Amino acid sequence: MMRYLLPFILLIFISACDRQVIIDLGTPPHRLALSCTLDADSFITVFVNKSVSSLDKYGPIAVTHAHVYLYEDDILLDTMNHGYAGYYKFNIKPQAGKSYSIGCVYEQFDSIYAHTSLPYPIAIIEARMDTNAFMSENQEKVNLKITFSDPGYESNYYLIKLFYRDSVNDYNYDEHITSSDPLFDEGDFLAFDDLTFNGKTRTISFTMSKPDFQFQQVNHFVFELHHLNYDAYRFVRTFEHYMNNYDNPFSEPVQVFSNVSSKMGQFSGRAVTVKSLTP
Amino acid sequence: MRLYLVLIFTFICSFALAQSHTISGYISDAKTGERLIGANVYEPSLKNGTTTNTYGFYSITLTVKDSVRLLVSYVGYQSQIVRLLLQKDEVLDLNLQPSVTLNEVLITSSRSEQIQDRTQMSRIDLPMEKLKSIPMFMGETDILKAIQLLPGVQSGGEGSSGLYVRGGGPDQNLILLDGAPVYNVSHLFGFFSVFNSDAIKNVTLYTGGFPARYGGRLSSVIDITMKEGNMKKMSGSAGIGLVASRLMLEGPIKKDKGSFIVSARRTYIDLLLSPLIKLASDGEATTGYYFWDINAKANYILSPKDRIYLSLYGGRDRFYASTFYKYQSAGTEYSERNNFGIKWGNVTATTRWNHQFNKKLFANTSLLFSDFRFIIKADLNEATNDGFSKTTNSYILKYLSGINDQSIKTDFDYYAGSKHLLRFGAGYIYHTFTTGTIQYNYTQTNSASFDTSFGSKPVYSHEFYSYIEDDWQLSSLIKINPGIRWSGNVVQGKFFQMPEPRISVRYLLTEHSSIKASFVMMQQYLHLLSNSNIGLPTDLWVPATARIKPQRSWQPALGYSHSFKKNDQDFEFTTEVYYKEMHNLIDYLGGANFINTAESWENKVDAGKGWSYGVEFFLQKKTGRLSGWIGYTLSYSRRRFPNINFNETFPYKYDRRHDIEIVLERKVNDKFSLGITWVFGTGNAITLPIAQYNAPQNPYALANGLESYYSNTIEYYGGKNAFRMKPYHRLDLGLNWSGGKHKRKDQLNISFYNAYSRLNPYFYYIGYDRYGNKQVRSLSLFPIIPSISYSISF
Repeated sequence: MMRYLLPFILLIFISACDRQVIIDLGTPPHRLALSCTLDADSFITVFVNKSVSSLDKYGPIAVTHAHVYLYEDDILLDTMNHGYAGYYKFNIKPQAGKSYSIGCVYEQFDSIYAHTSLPYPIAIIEARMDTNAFMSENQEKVNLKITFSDPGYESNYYLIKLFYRDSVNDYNYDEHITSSDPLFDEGDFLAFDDLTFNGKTRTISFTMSKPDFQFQQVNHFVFELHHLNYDAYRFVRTFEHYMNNYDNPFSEPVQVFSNVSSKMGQFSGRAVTVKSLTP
Repeated sequence: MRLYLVLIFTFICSFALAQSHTISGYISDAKTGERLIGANVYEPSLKNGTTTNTYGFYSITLTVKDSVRLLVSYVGYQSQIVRLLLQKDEVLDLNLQPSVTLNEVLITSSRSEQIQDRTQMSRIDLPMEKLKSIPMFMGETDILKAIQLLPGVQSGGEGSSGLYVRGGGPDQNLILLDGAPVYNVSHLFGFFSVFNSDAIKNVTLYTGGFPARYGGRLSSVIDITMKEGNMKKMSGSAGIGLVASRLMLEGPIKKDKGSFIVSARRTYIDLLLSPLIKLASDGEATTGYYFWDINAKANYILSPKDRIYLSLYGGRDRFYASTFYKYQSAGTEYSERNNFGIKWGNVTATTRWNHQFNKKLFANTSLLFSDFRFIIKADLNEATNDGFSKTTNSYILKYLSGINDQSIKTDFDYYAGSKHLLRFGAGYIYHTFTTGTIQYNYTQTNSASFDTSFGSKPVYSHEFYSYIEDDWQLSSLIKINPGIRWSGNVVQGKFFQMPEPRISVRYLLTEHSSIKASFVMMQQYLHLLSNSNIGLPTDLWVPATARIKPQRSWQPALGYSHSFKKNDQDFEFTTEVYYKEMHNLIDYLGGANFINTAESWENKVDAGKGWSYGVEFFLQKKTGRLSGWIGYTLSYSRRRFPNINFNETFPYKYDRRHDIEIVLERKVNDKFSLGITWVFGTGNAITLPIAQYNAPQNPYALANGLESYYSNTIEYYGGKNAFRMKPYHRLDLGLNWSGGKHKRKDQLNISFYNAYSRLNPYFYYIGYDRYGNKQVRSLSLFPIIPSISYSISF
């Protein structure tokens, strides 16, 4: 549709008197940005960089000598003063059910801070891949199912991913998955909330292109069920929209979620449950 | 309880009139027989007055005196003073003579009903003659652009016909053409309005204090009445301008019994450009754009108490492009024909029957039809001929959206006594919404064809309402207009309803000044999905649904009106303070793409709240060689949506802190007049990236997405609509010359739009200079645009 509409809209600009004036954006906010997603089974890594004007040709700059403070339930766990390429790796794994805070101080910049918590993992009751393929949209596809139980009395947020493991090259390839369930979208992952199944056991069905089992490097598929906290969910949704619509003149600008005091970056938590599927 | 009893008693007593008689009739233009809307009929000694309704009817009940003196006046006409002995009910039809120049409308001996006398606040009547003296854009008198020059009303941007009233959206304006709603009011992407001034008699704008007879929108009512046609003789006018020409004919069907008017307009940009485009493309391509519209109206007086009207409006915009290629290769002939077209437009039809039951009760019943359609059609035909066989492929893609209304309503005016004018009525509207349907057809020689429709299915809704209001003179100082409207809507098995109380109060401070207050609640059962800022017809009308509820608002306002004379010239001054709160507004979610028809519109929007408040000042000089007005509005308008801008409030795009309009007309002599317009507005609020920062490349991957040290750059906007465009200001100049001999009247208009060629921003975007450096650039549409138009009336 866009290719048909485009000449129509262009007509306005072609026929208009196109006179351009350069606008001064004013002094851009120079702030620290921070990104960190807590995983129960991973060491905490914080990425720090400093913002630049949106017109800057060279882009944001990583901050390698900031003071980064990490708190667990308001108790200081550790500090770091150096991060390679802006990544500050703490030798600490977060624990489910606890709350965390990060503070970051660097030179003349305003110090920044953020709070979040780590949710508990959700067990995958069943993950299954049908071996019988079927045709859809001129492609051979297979059905997948994942079943899990949602905790009641609270709002929960999820992300489901599927990838196949190339053990030869030690690399994960994301699979494009589509759900026939109208509640879900399609893409390399599905993010959703439990509004329609709060406190219930839920089975979600997907389809994916039939894998080439003869292809030696495909030795197994991996299902990931991410139990996100609300910060992570909001970040994932807005980040996805942002990436999908970047530079699209027909879409509304997307503001990526931030819970960092500088309004740049995110600090969130998730607990990931993994299930392998061997063809 | 006691208070209620006193009020009820007062109400009943106010109907009980001893020794009173009623004068009723119609007021018309003496030259054409056109009924005059809103003409004043005033008895100065009793301080009692009324105005004619939309059909020129009035009724006034006066307590018996030896004689009464009625002052009948109307802007642009010579006032009449009629003395009569009032010993019984009288029927008095009056014809007013048009004044040669506006400054002849001087009323020195007495006064007619003036602005401070009216209960109604936030209402402005626009005389068509005044509009024609405003400098024109491209030589076309534009009603909506003139309305944008009034306080409380803002334009969307350069050249736009969009109206943003008191912080409301463009969908919140009820624009009625002879009672029928018009959904798309602009031609040429918003640069021209669909209303042809030649066919328009009267325009009334309400920005608040809405009487109960109006409803269905939150922010404004623009009630446009078409001319009826000359009852006395055939006449007409024709005009030629830079982009369009027009012709209007009117005359009696039967003298003093019935009349008709037909007016049509068409642009000729396509006719001028098409040969050039064909020449440039070696005859392989054609493209063009044009619009036309036609207004027609007929009326007939069946009896002294009955009259029927039929009004029609049709208009279309069409953009088209086509290419044709033919070539040969290896003995095979290939050809390809592409056609692409976009067309949109309105059709409205109104049938009305006026019936006067008696001297006090007047009724009008209307059957209304309104249809807006937007169609994109693209087709591709390929043919291959190798001498032995011929193969053809045909692809047709059609996108359709629109709204269709069929309705019936009856309105009554009951002049209950000297102190009451009751209006009541009811109506029903059947809406059909086409919210984006795609039809796709594919045929191939000797192959299966494919024909399917997808996208949204039409949605049907039933809207009904009833209302009652009373213009009630409580005392010589206090006048009120209480009313209530009840409306309901059935859509997708869901029923919405809401009582909408309305009240306006006027308290006369002195003979020349009054304070006014009003409170209204409004409900709107449709929304407009719009993320274009340039009046694109792709904006989609959608119904309130179980998920997206009807829009609601409430608005109190307080005002002061004062009329005064200085050097024998009439001035009016009003100021109003308002607060408006709106609920269930919709806006696109971040990342929503309005072209994506695969996804339901309900999934692309969020419902939230808006509020606006401000103060308006309006000083008008109505008579004299120099006339015009100065308007100033200080306003704030904000929005809040749970899923937009992280549930934080943000300014509405058209949150305009300061808005100034100066409109002046200077009559140089009987032939020449000079029009000057200057406008200033705070820049629109837009969303623009002001900074950028990095995030890990794949933040949802395990191990914190740090399997790679590449990163994604995220733009930081500082909030939705956090950036202000540069202020808008513009000066327009117009020179009008009128002359002619005998019955012919010639008019020449020379206008300069944007006389000092201000580079007003149309939109901002990020571009690159030749060194690859990013820049924010402002694109401006119109520098100084001179135009000339010529018209003759005969």
